[in-house]
Amino acid sequence: MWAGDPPVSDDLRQLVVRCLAGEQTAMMQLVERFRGPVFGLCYRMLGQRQDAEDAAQETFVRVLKSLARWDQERDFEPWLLAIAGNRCRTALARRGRRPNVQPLIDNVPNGAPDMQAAQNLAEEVQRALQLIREEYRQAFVLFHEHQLSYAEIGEALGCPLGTVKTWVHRARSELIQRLQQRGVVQESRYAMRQV
Amino acid sequence: MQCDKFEARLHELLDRRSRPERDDVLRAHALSCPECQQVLEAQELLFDGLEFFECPEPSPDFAGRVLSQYQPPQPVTNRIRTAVIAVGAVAAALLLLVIPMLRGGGGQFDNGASNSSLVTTNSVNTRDDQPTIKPNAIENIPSPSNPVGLIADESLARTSPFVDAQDEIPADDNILSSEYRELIAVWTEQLNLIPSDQQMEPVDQISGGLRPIATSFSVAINLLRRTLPVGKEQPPQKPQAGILPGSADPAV
Repeated sequence: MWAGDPPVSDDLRQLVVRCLAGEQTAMMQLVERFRGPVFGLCYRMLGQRQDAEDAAQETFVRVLKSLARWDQERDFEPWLLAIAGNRCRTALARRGRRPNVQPLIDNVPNGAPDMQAAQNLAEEVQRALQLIREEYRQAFVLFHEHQLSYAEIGEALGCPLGTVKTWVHRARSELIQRLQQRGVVQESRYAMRQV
Repeated sequence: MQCDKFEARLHELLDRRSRPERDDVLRAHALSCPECQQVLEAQELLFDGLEFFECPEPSPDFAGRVLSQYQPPQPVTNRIRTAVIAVGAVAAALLLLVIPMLRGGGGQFDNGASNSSLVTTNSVNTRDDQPTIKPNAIENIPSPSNPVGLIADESLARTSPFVDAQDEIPADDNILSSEYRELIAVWTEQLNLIPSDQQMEPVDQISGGLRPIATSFSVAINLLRRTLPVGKEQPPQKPQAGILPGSADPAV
């Protein structure tokens, strides 16, 4: 997005207007358009497909109900992802703050450098992500995966930009620590260089 | 370059979403510092992992299920109306409980077949021969101006539901407190404003969470109506035994 561009495209604004008028097809289009990022964030936050799907559904139901309260001068996606983040935190609280993560890999394979090593590494990162604080996780995912700026994340989470920066930095540090504890850093180094 | 500057530059690059291992300055320092070399490699690995992050797709009917769960919000007027009904229900229920207590004698429901209205006993005079306030037509109570006291006759009952509230309220403070009289007056006035054939909103048309309140409200209102002097519903009148010409059996 270039400086000076309106934060919300005209077609999205029209889509929202149609949703507010109760048009079912417009609601369907809105869900289809944003289901990827919403489900992606929920999956990263919750680590389970079914939980992520439930949280994503709740997110869209909430969004449709409170669409009239969205400030059209502000970007839509950070607002949407903020609601998704809140739903995920509620789901985690329901779960008793115990991330129910299945062991993705027990040992990083010392084998031929192939795509399997890269996928295993990605799974280890996902696993480590589940073990850090929710705030760090959300900020990290929004910044590095959803490409939101620090300012947008701060606006979405309702906290200062400096706090968001700190959370993202700490998330990186903790992720690396956990990868090192699992022996992933040392053992994957060689394999990843070959990919 | 010192290690603290290395770290500051590393975060600066990460904040710009650049890959730090491609930065010449950082790489030069990392060659001479094993610890920073390890940090750089770990960061590289982390972002390699992120590049291979996979996210499953939600189920194909995801949007359909969202819409099936979504119920459009009620208009504000409906919500206000519902809230007013809820508050009214609570208030009416409280009134039903509090009035007999204020009068000190407690209340009881007369479950007689012919008259199921609420009967409130007199708190001052508890003897059996003292008058009780009957809702159908409040009995005239003995007073200084009327020492005998007239007992209301069914034949004197008004046929019109629209009455002057003050007419029905005895003036004897010994028997009825002023609060009670005011209450009766207010309710009677309110009752007069409602057309007699107006029905309450059916309970099953009210949202699920408010149904118990609405039911309580409905019961409370009906009881109050029966309690009021002119609010009692007339018992359904038995049809006149219309014997059709030529028929000997009235049931035919």
